[in-house]
Amino acid sequence: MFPGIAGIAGIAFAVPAAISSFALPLLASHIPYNITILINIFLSVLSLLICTLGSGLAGPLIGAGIGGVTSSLGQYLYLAVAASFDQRVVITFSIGTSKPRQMWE
Amino acid sequence: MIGVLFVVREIIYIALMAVFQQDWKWTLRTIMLFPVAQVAVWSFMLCQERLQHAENTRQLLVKPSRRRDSAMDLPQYGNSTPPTALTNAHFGPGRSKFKFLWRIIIPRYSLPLTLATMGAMIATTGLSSSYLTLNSFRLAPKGDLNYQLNCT
Repeated sequence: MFPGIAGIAGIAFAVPAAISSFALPLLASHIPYNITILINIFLSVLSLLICTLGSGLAGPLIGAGIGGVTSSLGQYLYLAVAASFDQRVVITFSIGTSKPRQMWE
Repeated sequence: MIGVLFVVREIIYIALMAVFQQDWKWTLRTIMLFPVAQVAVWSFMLCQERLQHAENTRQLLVKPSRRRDSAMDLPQYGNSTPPTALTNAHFGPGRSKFKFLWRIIIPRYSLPLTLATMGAMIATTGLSSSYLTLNSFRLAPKGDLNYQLNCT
């Protein structure tokens, strides 16, 4: 699939994800959450679709980049919404992530 | 519950790869159906009153100029209250998110955390972790890599 450069896909994912983690919360807060989740779903499908296009490396790398942006947008969305849920919901959701309970109290 | 994801996603991926005879393209095309399920989760499974509360809070915070008392007038839901940070002096009319990012978030939280983490890594393992990562890149599989498990 990626002969010899398996790590490049990880970089193609991580760099856009890191950049968008800073920028997206400032911009996406102006978009209603219902529209944000639709954008997130569209980008998720788009990243998978682009990954499967073509036979070279460009498709998977571009798809991984879009996937990184999608990941950041999804984290922003669920963290923003979680603030309105009961803390026990957030604790239950975070089981398995090694986050201590005291973080949420 | 999110810890279950780290197990389930690999099981689903391996199972689909087996079904499609290691054809990763058809596996990804099948996985494209999974994000669509988020519509059902968002629309029917999540508590709509909580989502509406979150939306109301967002609208108040992005339009502080129209509601000068926005910090004091956040919607309440039941006995639980929104995070107290929303009533912090850094939020409110005339405040800029970019100023908040550059003057508060980065210097007080992001930069110290980054320096502390990097310092701790260098103090405990030296630069070996960097060389280890570099070596793993050089020793990356050269043949056909059908798929890899991501356990990070």
